[in-house]
Amino acid sequence: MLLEVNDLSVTYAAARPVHAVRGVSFTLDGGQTLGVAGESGSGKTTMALALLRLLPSAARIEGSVRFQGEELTTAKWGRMRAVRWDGASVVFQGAMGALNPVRTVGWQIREAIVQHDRGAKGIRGRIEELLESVGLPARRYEAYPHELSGGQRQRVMIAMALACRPDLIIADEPTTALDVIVQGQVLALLGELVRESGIGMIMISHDLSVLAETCASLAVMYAGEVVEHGPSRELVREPRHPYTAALAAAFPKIGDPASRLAPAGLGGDPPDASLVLPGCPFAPRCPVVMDECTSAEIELWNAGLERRSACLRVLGDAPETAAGTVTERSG
Amino acid sequence: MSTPLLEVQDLRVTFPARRRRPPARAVDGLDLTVQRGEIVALVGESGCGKSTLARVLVGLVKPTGGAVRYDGQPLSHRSAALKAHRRAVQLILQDPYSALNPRQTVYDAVAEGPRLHHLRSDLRDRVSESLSRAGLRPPEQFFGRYPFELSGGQQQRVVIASALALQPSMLVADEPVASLDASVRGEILALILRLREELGLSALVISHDLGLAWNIADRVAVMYLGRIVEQGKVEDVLQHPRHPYTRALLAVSPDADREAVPPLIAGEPPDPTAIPGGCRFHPRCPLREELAARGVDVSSCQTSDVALAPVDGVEVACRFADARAVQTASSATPPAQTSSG
Repeated sequence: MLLEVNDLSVTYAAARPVHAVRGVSFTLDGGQTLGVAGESGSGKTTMALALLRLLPSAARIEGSVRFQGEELTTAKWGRMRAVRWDGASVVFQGAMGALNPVRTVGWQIREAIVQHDRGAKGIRGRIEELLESVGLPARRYEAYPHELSGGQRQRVMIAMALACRPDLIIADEPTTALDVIVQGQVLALLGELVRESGIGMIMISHDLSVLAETCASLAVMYAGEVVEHGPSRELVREPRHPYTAALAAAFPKIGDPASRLAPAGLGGDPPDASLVLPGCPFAPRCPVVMDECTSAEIELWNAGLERRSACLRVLGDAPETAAGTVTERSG
Repeated sequence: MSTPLLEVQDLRVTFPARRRRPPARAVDGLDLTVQRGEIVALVGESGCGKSTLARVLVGLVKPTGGAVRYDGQPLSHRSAALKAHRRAVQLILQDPYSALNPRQTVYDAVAEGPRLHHLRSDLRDRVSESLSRAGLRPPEQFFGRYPFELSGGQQQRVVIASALALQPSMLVADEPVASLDASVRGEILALILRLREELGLSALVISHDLGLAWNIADRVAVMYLGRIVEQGKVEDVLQHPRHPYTRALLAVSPDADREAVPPLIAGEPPDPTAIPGGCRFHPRCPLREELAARGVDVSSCQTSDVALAPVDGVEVACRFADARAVQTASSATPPAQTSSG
């Protein structure tokens, strides 16, 4: 197994500690793609950065992250340095700010390679190959970031993330700042790289439809917890958690009469991350809330083949699932 | 049909040359109308001139050519007329946090417009009413708050309330939900629909997102390099796109129900300082390539410009938009519908 995350929690120390990530577990194998969805503040970026311990020192990480069998939460810093880039790399959002404006893009990619392999030979050729693999002409080696468009800069970031031939890529909102057509190109590129090289990918976004199209499975986060997990297509088509249903409805399908002149939103705000309340954290905003939701112990229950949901309604004692469709499952 | 609320004819905005570059033709012969009570979505990729158009409509940029008529009257840039126009047409921008003054309370932000327009009587009531119309209830609770104390959705509601305080007849919203969270997006769009119902407000909503058009607009206009290339009823244009650019945009709008498809068009957003001759889309056009491969004569795409022409109830600026045109062309006769450039 490439990556095994078990009961991962991140708490920021403060007068009232902020529980940003609460007990997240999942596994990922090479060649697999996992999309992590949720609104701002749901803990999705914190969770992903915690995997490589890229968080400020005020963050306390609990639980276990095993990467290729090695426990990362307790690994020495020297090991972490080796794992980052080499084993697992991150494509950050906003390529604008992530690149050094006074160095050529070739220089910056070279730096990442040399840091991890001092004796590397033929680096120039390797970088030119990398640039071509992300759809940039090799002569762009000499370009400065300001000479490139937003889409091209994001391609450079992807090339850099691939520079040390990692086994895992974490892409944090890789297309948020990009134009629609360019977004399509970048997503197609990432999908192709994963298929061809067999690396694992975790992609983070608030746009469920982008994730569903690019990733095989999806985890939906709310208030620091995974509230639904399963194969993308089924999860979006037939959500088993009302929060997933709300996120899915936010990006309408063109041609669907239900969303024509009827934008779907979700009222209310996410809960205060410094509070630990009993029951389901989504209950105050839930359109199908029941009395027991505010008191019952909520877990990520099985909700069908390869699917899990943290909604009381999947337990079978309620005749309807979260999405409002009738199921034949019992108990 | 009565006079449209907004009528734009052959609008041109050219920005002067910079550093040896040719001038940028941001808006280049654009026609658009918005009827009373109508919501029109204007879609296109970055750099197509959609934000420049928004700025012209509220009088922030003076067009270099063409005409803008509002309520039948030509848009005047004399200060008194412009002030009245800016009261009637309100602009809503993408990022509410940068649109609001961080040191101004919600009350002052909403009251600023009425104060500038000397609408001081009943100011408090006016602010209250605008806030509650924008969904911030009870309004008094928001009076003393600062932008940083509000969520992104609430901030955008304050921006909308500031617009409503001047009792406009039209909103021009430039990417009103692009910087908001998925869950808030629908709420703000629903608000725009509700304002149309309650106040009869018209709206021109500018976006790169076709799903937004499907959600709230009556009509959609697709813009490419400063000009409309296809427009019509949302159902017609989005379900049966005729222009290859509209098709390409639809192909990249994410859909959870299908496998990711490779984008139909490659390359970067086009450059308004170098608009290609002939049909402005021809260098990126997948249809042209496909037709050429089938032996259809597509040379006219490079040599003569195309204007919007009606095809089955919508307007399309493509000489091969109509399947029949392709038929004619492939039987070796040159296409009939060419227009002067």
